[in-house]
Amino acid sequence: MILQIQKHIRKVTLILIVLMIFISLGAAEQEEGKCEGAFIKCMFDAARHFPMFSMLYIQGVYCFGGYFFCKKYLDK
Amino acid sequence: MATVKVSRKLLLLAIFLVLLFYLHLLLLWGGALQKLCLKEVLSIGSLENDALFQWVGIASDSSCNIYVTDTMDYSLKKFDARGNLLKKTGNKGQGPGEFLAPRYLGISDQFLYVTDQFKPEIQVFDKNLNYKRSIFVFMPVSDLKILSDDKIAVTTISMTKAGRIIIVNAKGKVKRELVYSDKKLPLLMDMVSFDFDSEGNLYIAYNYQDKIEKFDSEGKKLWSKKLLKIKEIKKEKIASFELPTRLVYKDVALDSSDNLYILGGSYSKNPSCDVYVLSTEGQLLRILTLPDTSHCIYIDSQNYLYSRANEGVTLKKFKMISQDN
Repeated sequence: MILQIQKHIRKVTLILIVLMIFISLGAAEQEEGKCEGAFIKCMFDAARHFPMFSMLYIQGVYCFGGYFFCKKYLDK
Repeated sequence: MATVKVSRKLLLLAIFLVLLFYLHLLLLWGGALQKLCLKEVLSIGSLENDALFQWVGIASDSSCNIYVTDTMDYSLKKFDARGNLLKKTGNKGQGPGEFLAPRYLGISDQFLYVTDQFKPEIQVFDKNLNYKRSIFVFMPVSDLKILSDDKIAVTTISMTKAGRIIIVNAKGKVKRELVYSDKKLPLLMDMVSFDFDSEGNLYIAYNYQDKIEKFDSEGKKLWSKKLLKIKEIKKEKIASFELPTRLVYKDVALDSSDNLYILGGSYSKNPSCDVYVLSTEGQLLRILTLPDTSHCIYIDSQNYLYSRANEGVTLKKFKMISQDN
């Protein structure tokens, strides 16, 4: 019984974490700027890899790389 | 009679002082007015033709051929000294010789090295743009400099390998790590543009900090400079991450005398146009202003300076003319 509850708690926690990520991404989507918008979209795609943390990490690194390049190239 | 003599002496003294003052001013201004003019000698690509769509990386060889990565065209292009397209290679794809987002270019006596934003590798081509091999790097490369075919210096966007320049050999094996910042900095704050001079000294300009530094070949810091006296770097919360939003310095390059050229970003008086020229000791010698905004600067072996125009549709080549001459 205790084990079953623990299983549920873990599931609920995971769902909550995923929800929090999506909510924070959605809120931040209001940000202005092309690079910021692209970064948010990229992180949104990265979040789909959850809970495969290695994929999430790699995709996240690519998002940061894209943001950095976008700023460098487009920033005036 | 004595009064006349005294006043004559006084007059001579006054004239002498005035002359001394003007001489001082002349020397002072002479030093500050070491101006450098940019004379455009070549322009490749325009809004009216499709020579370039959005170039990013550039390199030139001893025959003045110009190599360019065109990210919107998923290609690597070779132009002759007059700007005529000699060859083009690559298309969109993940295979050998193909690109997803071609970025920076490095050149050695034999080969060209091309980074790709979405590939953790450096693709190697010969000077006729034939694909030769790939060097696998553990993370996407954000900048590179070729010291030799067996000594490739890269920076990567990695949370675990931050604050260091990694030198890999021709097979991609890490040979050395040059740590320029051992502090744990917020996201992206340790990103740098870098170059090595003829003696192996390392110059770095932080992209999101007002900091330019020089290290000797052993990794010892020689000096650190702030050019813009920025008090606070603007940051914004984006997708739960607090990220810097404006670049301080965009790129660095060295001329044949090892003077350091630094392209300023949004905090400069002329954003993305001002180029600060520093001596090997870090003294500000002059400020150049590019006619158009650029993401990078490149200086070839003959001291011609290359930069961007029309938001990447045009590549400009300039002769740097000292006004003293």
